[in-house]
Amino acid sequence: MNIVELTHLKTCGLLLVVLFLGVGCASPAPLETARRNFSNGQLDIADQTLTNLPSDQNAVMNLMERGMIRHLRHDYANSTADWLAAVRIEKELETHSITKAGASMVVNDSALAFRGYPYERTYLHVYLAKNYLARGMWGEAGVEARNIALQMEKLDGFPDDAFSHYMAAFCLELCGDNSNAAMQYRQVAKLVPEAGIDESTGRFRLPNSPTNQPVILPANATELVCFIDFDGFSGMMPYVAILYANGQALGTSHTLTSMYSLQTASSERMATRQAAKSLSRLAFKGALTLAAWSRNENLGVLTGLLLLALEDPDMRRWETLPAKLAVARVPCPSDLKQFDVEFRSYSGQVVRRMTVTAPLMRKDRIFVSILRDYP
Amino acid sequence: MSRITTTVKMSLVVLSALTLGSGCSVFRASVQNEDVNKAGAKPMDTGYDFADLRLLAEAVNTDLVMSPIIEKKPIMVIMGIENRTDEHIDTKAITDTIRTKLINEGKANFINESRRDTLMKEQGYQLVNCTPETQTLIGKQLGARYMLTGSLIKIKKDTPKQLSLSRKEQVFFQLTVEVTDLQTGLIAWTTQKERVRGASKPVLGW
Repeated sequence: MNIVELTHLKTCGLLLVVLFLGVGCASPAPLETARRNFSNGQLDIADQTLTNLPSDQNAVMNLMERGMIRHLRHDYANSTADWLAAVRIEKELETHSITKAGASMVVNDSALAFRGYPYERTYLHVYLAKNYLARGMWGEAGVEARNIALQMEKLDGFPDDAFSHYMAAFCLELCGDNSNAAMQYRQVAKLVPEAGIDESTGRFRLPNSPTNQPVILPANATELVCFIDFDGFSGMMPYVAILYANGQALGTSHTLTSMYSLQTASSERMATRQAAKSLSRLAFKGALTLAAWSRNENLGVLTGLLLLALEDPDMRRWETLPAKLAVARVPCPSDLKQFDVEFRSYSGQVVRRMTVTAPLMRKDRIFVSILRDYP
Repeated sequence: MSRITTTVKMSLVVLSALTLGSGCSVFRASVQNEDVNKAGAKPMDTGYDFADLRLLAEAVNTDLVMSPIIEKKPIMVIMGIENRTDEHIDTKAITDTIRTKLINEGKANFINESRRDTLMKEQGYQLVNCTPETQTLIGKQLGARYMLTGSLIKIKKDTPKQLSLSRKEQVFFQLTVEVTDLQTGLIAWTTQKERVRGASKPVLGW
């Protein structure tokens, strides 16, 4: 090998190493640590781990995860700030970066800025709405409801989602926009007909009701609307949640969404596009390897190996989202201060019990609460 | 010679990367120290901004000052403008601007509804702790004759999906303000103000 070839080899090797280091791994270490802490129920440590977030290609994902950690810590103000920042950055990413697209052709799709699947973007607004509901900021929840509705209008073949429609409908109902709320409830009824939802009130039919009729309440009766996330942190995935107040059963939850289904359907929708891109990238990498090979065999082998080593599927996603999302809308006492929840498995076994005192907000005759099956 | 050429090439690559990454002022944030001309300031995008706030509030104020209900310098209370858009907009800033102008021009008096609780608390404190001659009298507050309310809506229109290097967006804001006579429950005065904004966003960027 002469000195020119050696220099070429060094230059090429250096550039590839710089590229590898510069693009970075798909999921950076602090995020992985925070996720592990989250799974272990150590929310405070998880939050601390993500105190300083880098503004890199994973900015949206980092903010999604930190927002969720803060949401579960009941730090709704900071969680809201994170998710609003994620929404803003995601909007900026509508303009495709030529440099990042070029880098993704040489490295892998992790070089591209993470925007998330459409359902993940919608869930930013769903959880923002939850934060506002938890703080009794009804008008702001209404703003997020309109954003959810806008997101659901441009699905472009990606899966529709009943829970997002329900959240939009409920927030619009609270803001007095009953006609648009009914439109959203209608979508829920279409997607989950077995829930037996009433389009005008958002109420569910009674369990085992032979008449298929939803609960009919007197005009001044109070009701509790509780948004429940199921995770199965207690070792067994809950199937249903039963709500109690003063020892009396109020009613049960209705599962509207499985996150796994949303993710699978979204991946399927993207599969063709991603396969085509992977093929183009491999062809491009092959051409680069051949070009290097034509100059020097060793350089060709090294280039080929490095470029292939960079090949890695983009597995980035919002991992702290719950497994399932449910809603319970039940009649309740007018002086409700707290309520109990019993999580049950499919076989009826009690998986977990919890007492909820906060967040529990009231708007006119409706109590609103949010909770998650989390340690 | 070839070694020198390679070294020069490498140095050029590194210098270009450094220049693109940090050197050029285009890539750096800058702050203007002088005041930005608020009348001439151009909007950055189609989102609601201070120009909308100023223009909508001023337009409503101009109409309201001309209305017959203002002739007797009425006592008014502001009950808020409903934000029916998909943006988190501080609609209180609109009513604050309207109120400031009406008070400063001596056209109307306003009940401080947002500080009512604090006011009651202070009166309660005075009742217990202050000397009789300096205590404010309880039950002497004035009642409003008119209530100011309203709503802000937004209609957005995007370019349909097509092969293009830019995406066009048009946004229409409409502010409706109404003044209700609290005695009769009738709407005594109402106005609507509109703003249309257009913007173009590139599909491709660096």
